[in-house]
Amino acid sequence: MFNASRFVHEAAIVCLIFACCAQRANAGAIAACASPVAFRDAQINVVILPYFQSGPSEHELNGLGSQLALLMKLETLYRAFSYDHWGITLLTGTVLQCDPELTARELLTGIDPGGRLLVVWGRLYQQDEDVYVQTFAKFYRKPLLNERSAPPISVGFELDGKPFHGQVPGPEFSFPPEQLPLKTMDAIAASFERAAFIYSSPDLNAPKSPLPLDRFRKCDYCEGPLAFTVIKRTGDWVQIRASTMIEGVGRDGYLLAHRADQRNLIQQMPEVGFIQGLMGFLRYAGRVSDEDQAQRLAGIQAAEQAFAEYARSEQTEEEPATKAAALQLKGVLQFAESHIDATEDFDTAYEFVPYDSDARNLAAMFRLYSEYSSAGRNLRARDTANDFIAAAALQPRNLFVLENLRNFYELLTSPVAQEKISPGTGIEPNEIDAQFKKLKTILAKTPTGSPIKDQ
Amino acid sequence: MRFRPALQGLLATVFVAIYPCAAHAQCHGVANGTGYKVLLDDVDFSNARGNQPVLSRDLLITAVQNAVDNVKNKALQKLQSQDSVSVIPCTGWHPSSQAQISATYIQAMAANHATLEFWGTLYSLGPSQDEFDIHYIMFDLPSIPSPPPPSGFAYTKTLMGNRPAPQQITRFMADSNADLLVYFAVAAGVQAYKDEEWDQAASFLCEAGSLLKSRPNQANLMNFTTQLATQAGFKLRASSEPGGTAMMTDDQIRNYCTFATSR
Repeated sequence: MFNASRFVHEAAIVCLIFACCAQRANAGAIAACASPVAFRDAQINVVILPYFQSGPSEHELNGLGSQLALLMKLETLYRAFSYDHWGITLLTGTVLQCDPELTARELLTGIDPGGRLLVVWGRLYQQDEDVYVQTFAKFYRKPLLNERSAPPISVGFELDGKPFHGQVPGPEFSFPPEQLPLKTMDAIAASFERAAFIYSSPDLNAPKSPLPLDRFRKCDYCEGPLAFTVIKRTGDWVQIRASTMIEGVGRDGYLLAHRADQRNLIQQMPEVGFIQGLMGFLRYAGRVSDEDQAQRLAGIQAAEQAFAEYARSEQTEEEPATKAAALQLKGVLQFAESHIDATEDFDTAYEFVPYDSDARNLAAMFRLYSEYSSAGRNLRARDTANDFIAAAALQPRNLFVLENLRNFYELLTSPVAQEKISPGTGIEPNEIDAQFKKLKTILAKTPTGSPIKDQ
Repeated sequence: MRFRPALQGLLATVFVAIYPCAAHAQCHGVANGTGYKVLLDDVDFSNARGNQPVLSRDLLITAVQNAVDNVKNKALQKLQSQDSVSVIPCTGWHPSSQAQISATYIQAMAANHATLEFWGTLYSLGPSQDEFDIHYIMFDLPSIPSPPPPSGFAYTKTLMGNRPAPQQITRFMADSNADLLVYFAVAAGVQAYKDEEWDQAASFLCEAGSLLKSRPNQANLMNFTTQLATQAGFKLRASSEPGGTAMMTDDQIRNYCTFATSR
């Protein structure tokens, strides 16, 4: 039974636009990918492009690419109701019109400086009664007015006044190829059709109208927009305002945030969870001031859970870099939330990509944080120095790593640090001095100076 | 910006001018730019073995295209510059076999600063089985005198019944992603070494070495990449901008990739 007293969430501007696309160029109209829509005041815009097949195929897709994108969007929408201030758009058009990089470039012109954009696209292949899918995602940040380009996103902390920073994974992610039976796709679509109703009031007994999903399910070039904005999420209900009148409901209505039927895409495509996590990361990580803290915490926890779910999935093993990224982003969120020790996540992530300098750097940083912050003599100085040196070997001009190493040697010179060094793992003062001097010389020669920190 | 000796540019011009290969006409833009270039040839059927394949060429095209996107994403992440990696489609060019690729062709492509070329072929092995081949050429490998390089050619062969199980298809796609990642890392590392971009050479070669660890039948290629990484490490440390290698001991550089990728 719906309980109105559970309306607790702040006003949201989650926006939804169903396939809004005119006819092909031969009809003289412009497809949506060619004039994409973003929500200027949203903190993060998510754009899902149709899935296309490769090359000059002998087979027609018969709308499968758009149908899959629509399911991906609905699933993302329902999973991300715990976030606020975000927009999601599904675009349709031809493969040339829907080039991810061109679409992103166009969209970035329409959002505020500092705004985030997440673009999701993919490729599919149909064999008999199955579809095989590979999904890609990339995030962007529109530069601030005083920036020439958006800097990489980093995470950092200080130990006794010495800063340590690492670059978070991204901005591009590849997901493993997945098999998706057509009958499963149909079942999920039918489940959304059964469950996705717009109610005239937040009451299960109120008049309701189904979302007209069928209009958009099996077409590659759909006509006419159906857009609505989610005004706020309160408890289990999400208040929306449609751009056109909805039969039996009007323009204002309510969506039930949870579907009773649990058939969903994530079982076949775990990347839906990763995208949910990434949205939360881009929305909440590093933004503390003038935010509703309860909302922020709920959002961070939802994102952490989504990343954890992705990392646990066996299906994700084929793309170790993305699996590692899920663990690292989860660890960054945990740390941002309450400085929880996420060493294990960073260590495991490094094991997936032992050739990645940034992964080694993050693992070294957070191990250092853990050892330095705990009581007793736990700091393994030699191992930590070697961790940073190995990260530098993998990318000899990685400024994050070189600065961390310099700051680590400097940290070791303090009496407080000396008290924390585990017996037998120390580094002689003359070696520290020599290494520190070398690093100062190296860093003085680096052309771009210190990496810019985003958080 | 990547280093391009003037001599290399001159050689590129000479080779392109004298080598009338069809691929040059098809690979538009191969002579432009200084980044890492992946040449993607056509994916095609072959009825050289007497039968028409039953499976769709789309599967091979999809696997190849996914692998290209995947490798490009990862390389751009490492290099952090949009124009550092380009994929050049060589439309209409599909070598009938590895034998069609001459040493002159490889030199010409290396002079054009091409990194890697690959193509796929679908064969029928009879009424119930098809074969998917993907061939790779790592252009700069033959130019490395020491350690002696393995062949710059590599290829993978996948057999599939005409009603493949779903797991076979996803495995084929995942393997194609992984293979291109390895061969690109080798080819880019060797190219960077040849260009005296020692830091990028060490980085790509250690990545290749790490990815090759799980492939015992490619131990030669793994040993080659890790030895070359060590050479790149010593050269970087001796350079005027040694970066992180200045912090490494001789022993660490001698075992460059082992040190860098183990904990």
